[in-house]
This record gives sequence, structure tokens and C-alpha cells, in this order.
Amino acid sequence: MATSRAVLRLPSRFGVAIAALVMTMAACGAGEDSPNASGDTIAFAHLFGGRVYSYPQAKSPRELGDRSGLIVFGRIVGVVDGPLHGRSAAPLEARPTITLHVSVSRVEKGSLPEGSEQKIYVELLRGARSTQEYAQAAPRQADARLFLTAVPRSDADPIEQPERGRPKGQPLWGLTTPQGLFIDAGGSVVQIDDVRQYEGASLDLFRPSANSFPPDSSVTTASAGP
Amino acid sequence: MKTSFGWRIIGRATASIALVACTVVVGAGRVGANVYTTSPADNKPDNFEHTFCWTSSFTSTPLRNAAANAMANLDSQTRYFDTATGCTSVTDVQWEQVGSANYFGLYECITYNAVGECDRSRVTLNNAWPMDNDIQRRKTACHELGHSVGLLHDNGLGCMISGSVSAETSTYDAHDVGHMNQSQEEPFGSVDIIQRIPNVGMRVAGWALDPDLRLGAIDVNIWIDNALVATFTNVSGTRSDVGAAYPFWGSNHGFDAIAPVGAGPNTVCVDALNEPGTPGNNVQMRCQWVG
Repeated sequence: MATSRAVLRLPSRFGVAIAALVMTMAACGAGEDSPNASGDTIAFAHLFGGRVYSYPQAKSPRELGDRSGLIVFGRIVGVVDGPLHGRSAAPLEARPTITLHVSVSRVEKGSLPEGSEQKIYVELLRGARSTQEYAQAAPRQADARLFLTAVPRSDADPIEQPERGRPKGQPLWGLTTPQGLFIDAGGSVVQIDDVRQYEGASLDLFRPSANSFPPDSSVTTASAGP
Repeated sequence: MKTSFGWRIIGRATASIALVACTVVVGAGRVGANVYTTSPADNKPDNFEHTFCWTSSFTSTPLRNAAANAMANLDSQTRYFDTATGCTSVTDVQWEQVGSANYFGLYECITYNAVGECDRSRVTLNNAWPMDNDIQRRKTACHELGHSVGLLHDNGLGCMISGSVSAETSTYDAHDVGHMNQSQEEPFGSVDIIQRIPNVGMRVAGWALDPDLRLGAIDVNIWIDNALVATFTNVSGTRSDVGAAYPFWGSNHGFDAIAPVGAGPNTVCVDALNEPGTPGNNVQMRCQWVG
């Protein structure tokens, strides 16, 4: 936020307007990769299409929260290349990842690591898309709730550049289940797993104390539009 | 199987062909570009041959057994037939494993072809909890393989139900089998050139095939201003790009001929005709105004 005395000395009506504008800009924040990009929640969710997980689903946000080590409310502010699962020498078998940079406005369970500067880093598979596509589509102006655990790792699974995509020393988180990322879509909420859109819902319905998800009757597969 | 390519003119016949470019409309059906689906449900495979391979990471014997069971079951229950190959850039399903994950299994389409069908996919099975018994492994392998042929989750009696199971569930129910067997019935292709040649006629070129015929040739109808003016019969011209993109269907599905046309402008429409006696319907491939 601007603190210059020159701004505050403007005639009162201009001063209030400019102060409001500056406060709004500060609250929205600047995208880490593209300051002017806002993205679209549904377009972003569709980038995760073409993959389907089979997993023990949580039956409620409360259950999802119980299984999570960290729950945050915030905004996706950037998408960059993450570690490579597999070996670059075997490109047909390698599984590139992306790392979401999430600016945290509220911690709802757990705590942020030391030195995080209110940011966390979340790993997702990149799939058939490019990192740039995710970065350009990331809905930087949309609130999101993330249910997270430490990324599962096994000595049996090779990984290259395990630290890529985040500041040195900061941990990498994974979604507790593929359900664990809910993004506001202006009058609905999108869960990227299965590109599920909960019509008429708000993120409040997915708070960790909620005993059920919105009913199936409200769920559609989000349309990518014309 | 039809073996000759010809065309029937309905109405006035044309004379010689003078390839003088006049008004050219080039189709958008080039083969080989990646396009993307807009729904996780659109994991439609490109044909009934489902090639598969084990990746170098796929070493777990219980997981391999589950995958082999799934491939064999696909073969026996449906029109699909599985072919074991080495892992290449066009292998339909490459089986993999991970040592630790928050899921039983994962299906991903890795590469799409020019018409939005999945050219290459991977199925990843978790080699740890919660995949800790053979019933779950077989169910999950069947389940993920089902996604690779376009199936969604359901609440039926087969392996496409979500989540864990405690009883043997490693086959597809009748509903899903019906979907799988119907997914490849419509003819398809591309119209690449619609070109008015002065004093000759309307050149129309492209390719078309019916999955029910595999290597066989079908007919293509040419409509101009809502009147059927020509049928290109047994379209079997060589299109090596088609054969490269669809090795299962082969290269011999091309057409390039002249339809009679009066003074312009005209609206030209091209239909691929479903092979009589097989499932599916005629498909309009392209309609274009030509000035």
C-alpha cells in the first residue's frame, strides 16, 4: 500500500478514491508470473482434464480436513515447473509436475513453515499441458481452499530436481486427496478433480467443519464455454 | 471389401480437369496436430486396437498380474483387442507404478490426436497402501483401463465404481460394455480442399473411413446448394498421413475428384456415408460457402 504523504495530501475526495484503489490493488496482489493476468477458474480447472484418479474419497470437508496436515485459504499467485518424477533420460515414462505458488490469507489447520512469508508450494502433475498454459490460466483473483499433506515420496520412485519451483528450504505440499483443491468461480465452486462444478455454492460450504459436501444435484462437469 | 475408387455424377458430367486455382477453401483436417479435450470424460481412444506396454518402473508382480488380467478381460468382454508392444509415443496404454501415492490408480491421457482422441495414455497403479490386496489391484486395473476407453465412474455392478472394494470386481457391467462397443461406429475423416476450377467443376479432396470396415473403403456424398450432385464411391486413394496417424485403419481412404457445379457462389457440403449394414449413421464432415 502506498504510504507517500503526497498521496494523502490530495483533496479529500481524490485522496479517498486513490487510497481505495491502492488498497484494492494491494489486497488483490500481483501475480508472480504475470502481474496483469487474472485467469478464469473454469478454464484453469479444465487444464486438469484428461486424468481420472481412483482413491478413497473423503465424504465431507470435515473428513478431508481430518486427513490433512495443513488447510489454507488463499489465492494461487503463480505456476512454475516443479520436480520431474522419473528420469529425463526416459522421456516416455517421465512425469513432469507443476508447482502452484499459493499466497495464504488464513491458515485453518496446521501452521506455515518458518520463512514462508505467507506462501506455500503445492505439487500437481502437469499432464498433457504446458506449464505456461497453467500459469496463464491461473485464477489469481479467485479465492481457494486447499487441503494438504506432505507430498508422498518413495525411495523406489526416481525424482529429478526435487527442489525446483520453490525457494530453498520450503517444503512441497500435495493435495490430501485429489479432491483437495476448491476454487471460487463466482457463484459456484470448482473442484479440479473431475472438473466438478458445484453450482450455487460458495467456499464457505467447504470449510473444514462442514459435515457434508453440497448435494450431487448441484454438481455438473464444468463446461469450457463456447 | 470394395477395391476401386470411382465417382458417380448426378446430373451434368464434367470434362477434363484443369487444375487452375480459383476459389480455394482449405480444410482444417491436417493430421498430426495436438488438440485438447474440454472434459475429463472425453478420453475417447482412437480405435479398437488397444496397444499396451509395461514401463521399466512396472516391476511389481501383483500389479503386472492385475494389469494382464485387465487387458485380457477387455479383449474378451468387448470389441477391443489388446496388443502388447514396446512403449512408444503412440502406445495406447503404458502401465506404470509408484511406490507411494494418495490414490489407488490414475489414468492420464498424455497425447491427443488431431481430432481430440487420446493417442497415448498412462495408467499408474500404487504399489503401496491403500492398494494392498489383489482384489483391489484387479478392480483398480480394470477401472483405470476403462477410463482409457472413455468410461466414466458409475454406480453399477462392474469395476467402474469408485473407491475400494472387498469382493471381486474386475469386469465391466453390461451398461459399460454397451458403451465401449458403440464408441467407434461413426464414419469420420476430413475435407481438406474445396476448390472451384473454372469450366470444370468443384474439386473436393480429403479422406473418410468407417471404423466398422477398418481397411475398407466407403462412399462420400457431395451436396451443392442442398442438391446431391455426386457420390464418390469406394474412396481408397493413398493418404500416407492418415496411415501414419491411424495405422490401424491404414492409408487408403483418400478422395480427390470433381463434382459438377453451376455458377457460384455455392454452398458445398460433404458427407461420409456409414457402411450399410453396420452400426452408425452418415456424418456431415464439412459445409463451406464457395464464392
